[in-house]
Amino acid sequence: MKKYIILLSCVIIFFSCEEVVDIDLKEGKKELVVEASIDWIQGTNGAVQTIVLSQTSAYFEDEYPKVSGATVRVKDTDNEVYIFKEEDKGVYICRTFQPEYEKVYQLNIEYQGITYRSIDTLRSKVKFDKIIQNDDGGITKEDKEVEFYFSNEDTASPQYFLIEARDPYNVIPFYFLLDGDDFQDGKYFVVGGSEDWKSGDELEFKVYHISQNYFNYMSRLLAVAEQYGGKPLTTPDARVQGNIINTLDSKANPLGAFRVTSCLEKKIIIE
Amino acid sequence: MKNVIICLFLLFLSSISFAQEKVTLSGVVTDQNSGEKILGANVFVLNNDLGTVTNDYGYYSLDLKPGKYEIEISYIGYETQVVEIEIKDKKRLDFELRVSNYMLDEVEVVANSNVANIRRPQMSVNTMSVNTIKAMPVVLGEVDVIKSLIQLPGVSNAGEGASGFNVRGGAADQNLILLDGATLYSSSHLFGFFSIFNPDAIRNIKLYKGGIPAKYGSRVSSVLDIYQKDGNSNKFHLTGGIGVISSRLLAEGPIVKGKSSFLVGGRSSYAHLFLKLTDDYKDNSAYFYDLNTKLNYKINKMNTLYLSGYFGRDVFRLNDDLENIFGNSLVNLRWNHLFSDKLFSNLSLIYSDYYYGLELGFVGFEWESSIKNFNLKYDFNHYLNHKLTLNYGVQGIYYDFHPGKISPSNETSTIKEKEIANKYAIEGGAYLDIEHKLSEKLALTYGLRFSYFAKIGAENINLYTDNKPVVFDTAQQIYEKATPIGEESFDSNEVIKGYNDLEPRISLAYAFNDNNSIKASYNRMAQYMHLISNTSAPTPLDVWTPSGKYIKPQLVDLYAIGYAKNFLDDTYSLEVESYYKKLKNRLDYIDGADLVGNEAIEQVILSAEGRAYGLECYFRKNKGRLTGWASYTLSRAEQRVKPRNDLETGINNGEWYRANYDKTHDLTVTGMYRLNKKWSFSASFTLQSGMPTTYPKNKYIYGDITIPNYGLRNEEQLPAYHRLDISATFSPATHKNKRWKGEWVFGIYNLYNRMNAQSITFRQDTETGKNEAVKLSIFGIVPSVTYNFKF
Repeated sequence: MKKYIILLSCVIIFFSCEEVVDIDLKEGKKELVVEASIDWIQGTNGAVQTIVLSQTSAYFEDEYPKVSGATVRVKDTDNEVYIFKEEDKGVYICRTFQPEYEKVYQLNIEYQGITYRSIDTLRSKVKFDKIIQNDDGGITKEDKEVEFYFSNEDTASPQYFLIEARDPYNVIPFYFLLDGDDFQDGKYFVVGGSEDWKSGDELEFKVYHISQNYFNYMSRLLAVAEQYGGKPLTTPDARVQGNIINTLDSKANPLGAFRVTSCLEKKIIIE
Repeated sequence: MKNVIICLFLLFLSSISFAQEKVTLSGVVTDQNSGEKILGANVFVLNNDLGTVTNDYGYYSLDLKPGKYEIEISYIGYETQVVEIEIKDKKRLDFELRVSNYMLDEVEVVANSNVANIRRPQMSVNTMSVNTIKAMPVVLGEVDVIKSLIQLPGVSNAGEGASGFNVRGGAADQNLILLDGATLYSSSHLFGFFSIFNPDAIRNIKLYKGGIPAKYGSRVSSVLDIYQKDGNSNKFHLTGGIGVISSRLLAEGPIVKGKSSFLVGGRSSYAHLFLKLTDDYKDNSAYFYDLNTKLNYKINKMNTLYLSGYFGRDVFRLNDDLENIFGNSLVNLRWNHLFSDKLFSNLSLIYSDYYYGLELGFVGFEWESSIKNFNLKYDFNHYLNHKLTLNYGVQGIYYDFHPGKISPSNETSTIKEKEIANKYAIEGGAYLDIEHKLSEKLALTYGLRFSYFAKIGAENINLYTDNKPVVFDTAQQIYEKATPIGEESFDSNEVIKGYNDLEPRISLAYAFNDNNSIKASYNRMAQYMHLISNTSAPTPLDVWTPSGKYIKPQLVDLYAIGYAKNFLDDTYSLEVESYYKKLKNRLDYIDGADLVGNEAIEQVILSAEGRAYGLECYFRKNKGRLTGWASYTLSRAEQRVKPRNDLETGINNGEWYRANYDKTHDLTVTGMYRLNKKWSFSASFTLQSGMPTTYPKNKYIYGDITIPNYGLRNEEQLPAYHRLDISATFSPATHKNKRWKGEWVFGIYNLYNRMNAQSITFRQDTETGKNEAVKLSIFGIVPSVTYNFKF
């Protein structure tokens, strides 16, 4: 729904003008950031998984300082423990991970005497259905447009999906969240389009089947990430609370999140 | 408080018992030219300093001992009339006032005798005539009622692109906007750029910022009372204008002379017609229109009927991809009846609704929501004697909320049909307001409003553990939706949850002399309707929701004191007021709350408290070639969501944060200068503190995108806002016999092209990956020209 509102606010921007400005920001205290994304890409065995620890830095700095020296482990409900070794500064890798659908995983990080913990569930496999392409998208009806259809047999429990799309024109991915409750019979779709896209361009599309807790996290995160330009009507911005907890002091929880997902990956060539 | 009420009641009784043998002088005051009733005209008895003002229908009633008197009738922009009368028995005397027309020979006639009101206890009220509103420079030449209000002390908004207005630190949904007595749910076109009021159809507007009479209920911040014209009862007229954005045309005239008249006015924007000419955008449109109608029929001296209507829509269309239509409509039938020359009554039967529809063709999605209400009001003005006037009445409203329905817009769409259950509510009110002149110097208005609100079935209400629809996850430190543990079903018309409140209203004025007075007032008000909106200003998509099991009514206590002074023979006036406001049960939202299409809105709502305080100075020049005002407001408006227990954090760590529209300093200087019969000029300068905003403390990377890490809410401030607007009006000479009168209005908005910040957002450039701060400015310099005519 949020997208639609953004679409409407574009109309407001019709009159307005955007300008990049210099703002003096006071830097706040440094915080730990955890990016623990265990994604089992369909068609692979999911053995190689990476967890990255970093630190916050001044807003306009290009640096993203990494955090070394932590002990990172993931344990499943059968007490199988996977050790993530620091192979590069702040980059912790496990090469023997054995993912299993509907299994609960626990993240355990020890850093400077503090234990951080989180849990997540690996959701079931998503079935790819079809891609339909057309070239009458956008306001001018001349943009390339891609409709991506997928489905999931499990219609009983709530279903949540994160869509990640990358194209050659943007260095950062585009994210979109789907709440399965808005669709019928376990059949889902997303529509994407861009005036930049040309025949032959390669797009990378990923559908992550995610848990409700992580869905909530991502909706808070994307709300403050401002991927879609300026907004005349501001919604309140706040610190994005993650799903990883500091076991000593919950007031000092780290930023970032832990997710375990099944992921459908597709390359799309624009026709 | 109880003692105060008892004391006032005794005071009231004592005044009745001492009433003497008197006769009543009554009548209506009208405009000589158009036959329009004049509201709030002063009727003053010169010999013994008695006086009254006409009510909302131009009626007055005065008690006098038999004898000879000089009666003076005056009103803003009209020539004062003095009539000698001898009264032996009760007498009906109607007055016709002449517009103090500057188009006549003299230029230096009083154009705007808008002097401060000294003796009446009514405070915190601003009246604006349509002529003043029309004379102010505006963006794109679109005369705008709401934008004019913002020039007044104590009134602000959330920036140029924001709809609605904020009064004394209140939110935009806390204003009661009445058009001919009927409630409007939205006041803007084009998402806030223009207001929905066609200036040609409006007679005058009155804004109560405080000291709100007990007659008005159901909103906690202000009352904006807008009166449409009745239509000229003497002559047929056409009025219209052609502007950059919209054109308007209004016809009015008598149906049966002296008995009935009509008014029909339409306005429409036409920028979209140009879109049609371009190849790329020929299937797109964005326009608005509105239609105002009024009929009145005077049955006899004792009875008059009025029928008013309004219909307005905004339409956006992008190919077949998006269609967005929304707007208000209302119908109001009123019956004025005089039971006696001392008892005036008005019965209103009102229907109004707000509709919002959105269709997204490309995803096969359709959304529809609406709110309808039926309102019955019976109001009385009872002129007991020269010291006492009673205003009392009852009101009943039935609400029908259709909060939203999502449906697939075509057969292939797999969008699931979802309808949020309709909600129903009733609201009742009964009030008594006593206007009491205690002595030459001291006047009081005191009253009480009793209000009742109930959310009624049929509806199924979710039940939660401990009655908490929002739970706090102490480990993650976030508020989350609770999972319902069951449902309670209510039958049709069964009360789900009822509330009632007593709302005392007191104001007093103490006049030192004819030119100086101090005033004080206290108000309690209750609001049972809430606009679900998480943005700094309302959007058309926002849905109204009633109080109920999980949402409590908003309650406000407002205290104000003031000083009013007229000097140099009323050439200048000065009003200074200070206020303090306390608000309970305002809605705030948990982080990441999804407000649109949410079936269980209670799961994302937390209850906030608010406070606002300020000082307002309003200095006016009322006479001469140059008229105008300077208004300055120093204020603060804040909100807080405290944790419900020790484990929770509240919102913003439970600390106070500034409202989005809070502006510490707000100065406006507006001047209008009449050079000669042909040319007049106006200019307006605005200087405000920048709006509060939140800046990131630092950033981090997650999922290959950078995320700003924000600190406490609204701790920073945008750069100061200022701009200067000017306009010139040229009225070419017309032949005496020609009925056609035209005028050209040339305007420049934001003369020195200041790029004021509406917002500063922090984001990552998607092409370079670099972080940047982006300032959004709405209007730079905007020239405009408008042609107005009257036939």
